[in-house]
Amino acid sequence: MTLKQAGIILATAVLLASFFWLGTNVKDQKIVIPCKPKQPEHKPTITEEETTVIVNGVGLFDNTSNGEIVHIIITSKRGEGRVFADFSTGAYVGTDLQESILLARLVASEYTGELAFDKDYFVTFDSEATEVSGSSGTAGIAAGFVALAEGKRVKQNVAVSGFVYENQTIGEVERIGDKTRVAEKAGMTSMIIPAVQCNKTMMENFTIEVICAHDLSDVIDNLLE
Amino acid sequence: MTKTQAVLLLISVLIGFFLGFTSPEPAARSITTHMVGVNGQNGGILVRVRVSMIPGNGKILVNIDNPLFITDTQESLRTAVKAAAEYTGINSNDYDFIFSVEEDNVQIEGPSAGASMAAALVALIENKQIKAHHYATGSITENGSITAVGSILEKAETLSPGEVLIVPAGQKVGTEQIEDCSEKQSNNYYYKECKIKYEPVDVSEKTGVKVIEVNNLAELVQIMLE
Repeated sequence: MTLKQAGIILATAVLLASFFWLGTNVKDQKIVIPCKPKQPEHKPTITEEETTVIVNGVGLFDNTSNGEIVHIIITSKRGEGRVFADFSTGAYVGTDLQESILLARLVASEYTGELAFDKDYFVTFDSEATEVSGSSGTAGIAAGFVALAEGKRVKQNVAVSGFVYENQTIGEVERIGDKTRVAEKAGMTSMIIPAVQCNKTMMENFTIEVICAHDLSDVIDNLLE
Repeated sequence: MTKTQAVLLLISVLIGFFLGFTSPEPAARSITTHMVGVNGQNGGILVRVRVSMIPGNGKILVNIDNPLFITDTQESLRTAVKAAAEYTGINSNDYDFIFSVEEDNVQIEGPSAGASMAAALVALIENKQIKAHHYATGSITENGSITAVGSILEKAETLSPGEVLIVPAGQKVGTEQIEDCSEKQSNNYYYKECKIKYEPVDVSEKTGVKVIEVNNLAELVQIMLE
């Protein structure tokens, strides 16, 4: 028997019992129901508590300098410390990106002390592409995990592209110039890139603020509120 | 019946229905099933998969802690959800579907899990059970057709005699790889020359596994669920 069925049966039984009791004892007397002070409305929680952050990654379409902001949506809810990838969006998730998610979780776990093992994490890539792949989202995903663990918000006018190693340093990614241009066209005000790829050209060629990240803490300082 | 009784009866019925329709949705429903696959050495492998559904908005969430999923498997999971929703008449956008592979050190690829995942989803949706010792392999289309996959013999060899393997129509007869080697001599050297032949083999006779062919999800569900 489900909870729903039990609720229906219990409520009906109680009210039918009172109906028969009143029916046999009160007869035609007028029933006066005393007014009770109004209780504050309390709605029961019917969905599990969940928290979501959205990180702006940058993706390039194959063999072009065109691309898009890929919204990386990470949700945590009560669970067992597992990580799930969302395969229902239009974009397939490459195995290298699946590995990046796991690496990001590991790095974020070490950065924060540990990620909660009583929560599951769900990662969705909101993209126009048919496949999202590569490892340049790793730093952003790691920062997203940190934001969830520390209850911080992610700035929505900042994009990030970078790999992150287990020692938390930020590693270079391919075609960072094209990615920065995509972020600029998309209206972002800042773009976080690996410090190893910061050079005069990168710093001067864009109207967007280019932030050079040496390690994960640099990303977090500039991406989280 | 007095007016009081009638009013109280009406109220009780209304409250009962109200409670019924506003109670929390049931918690996640889960079922365990198996993917029958092949490993890198072309041997069969049986992989346990936990399939769950919860009220949601059509997400297909796959636990990636252990195995990684190649894109064709992602596609087959999407198709399995669509086929199961079509078969049962539910709106798949009202639920999230969660897949957790309970094996370490495997990489999931290929479309052959589609049929078994669709059957598991139908079992979940219709609150049925998967029969013990029943396994399926086959690709699935959105309209529920089950189509051919490879390595039927190797997959059957992972099962025990007497167990049931449900396969796409026309695949009861698999192919067996036969190595025919002979020693040859060339000048003063001896060497072994091997020819590989593929010969048809009745999978049931070869393995003792009961192999049943199906054309579509309806036939699969009929055999696999109880």
